[in-house]
Amino acid sequence: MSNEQTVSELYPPPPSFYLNYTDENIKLRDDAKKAASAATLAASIQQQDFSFLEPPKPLTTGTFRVFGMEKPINEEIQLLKNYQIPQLYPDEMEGTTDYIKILKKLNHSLLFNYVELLKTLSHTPEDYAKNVDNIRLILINMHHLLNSCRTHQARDTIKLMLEQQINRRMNSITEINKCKEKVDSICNSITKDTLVETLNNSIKELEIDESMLQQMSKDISEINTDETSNDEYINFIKCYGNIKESIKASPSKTKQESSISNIPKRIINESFDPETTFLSEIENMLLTG
Amino acid sequence: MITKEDKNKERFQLELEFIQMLSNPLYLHWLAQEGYFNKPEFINYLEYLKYWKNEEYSKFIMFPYCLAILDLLQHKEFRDSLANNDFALNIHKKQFNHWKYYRYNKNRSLKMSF
Repeated sequence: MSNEQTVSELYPPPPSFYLNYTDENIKLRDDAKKAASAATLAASIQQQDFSFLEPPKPLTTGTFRVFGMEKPINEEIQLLKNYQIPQLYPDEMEGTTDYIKILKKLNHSLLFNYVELLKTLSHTPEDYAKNVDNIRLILINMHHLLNSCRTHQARDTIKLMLEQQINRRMNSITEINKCKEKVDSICNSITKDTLVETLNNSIKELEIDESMLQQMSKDISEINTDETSNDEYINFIKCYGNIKESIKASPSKTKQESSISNIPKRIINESFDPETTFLSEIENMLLTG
Repeated sequence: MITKEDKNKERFQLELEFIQMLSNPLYLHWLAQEGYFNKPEFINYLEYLKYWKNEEYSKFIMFPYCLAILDLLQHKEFRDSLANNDFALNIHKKQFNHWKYYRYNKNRSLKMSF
């Protein structure tokens, strides 16, 4: 039956339903939905039917066919009786713990039947069929019994997985709490006293800086009295005066210093930006806890 | 005479088959090559197919990989990469390894936790 035409397409194309799902259609449907939720009955009568965009209803009865296989929708474990096979254990097994007992019993009778088989083979070999049938029956029963434990096994596996998930989440919760406590303690240690201390420190440093600058201007005025004739020095003094003023106005801005190349190096090295040191101090505190 | 129920059943089975075919990376590669991923209506269709993740539908699915792949297909990078044969083969390999080792590792870790 297979001819070249059927082989030309390696895979089947997707169902043609997808052609309906254009952006336009989806938009129309969404608009209609919105309108339906808000509008009156009269408006909803005018609306178009968009049911071809909705998923099909799930099947509930009968059988369904997938990849050429016919399958029942509600699959249940059949009793052995329904297959015309005698059942060697009681019907009501669900929920009891007798499985182990019965399986052990069946195992015993399996061994017994095997010995019986050996006996008949040694005495009357032609009667083997009955013993083999017995053994087959016992094995089928055991197999069926084991299969009926499958649902229990699946349920237990899910239970274990859920427990694992819970444990994992609990662990992460405790870890988050630990981290929170750590952060809290750091925050508490920062408040008031330590903050005041660090502020005081930076103020002190600022004062040192200021006194240094004052010293500098004194030095300059001394030099000034010595050599008043030099033009370069006059410019120099002007610059320092500007710096002094700017520092008084806003003590945090001392960066201008670096723009003047002739300032003694000692002062440049020891000058600092109070903002950065303050931040770095807090940073250090956070790090050391 | 085709009733409404028959149509519903036919569509249900067709879409059930199609969504399960998504678990085959080579089929995805083929879809990419045929240019289906460039069609906006097909992308919308993939979005629509998410209804299979609901319980009353998902119990019909025999190849659950397709649901994970359906999620991946919602991303453009994944769809674009599927045009590459190596990528599709790589997914195929990953799938196989997952199928082969995931349960084994899981069982081992479960045993360890006791």
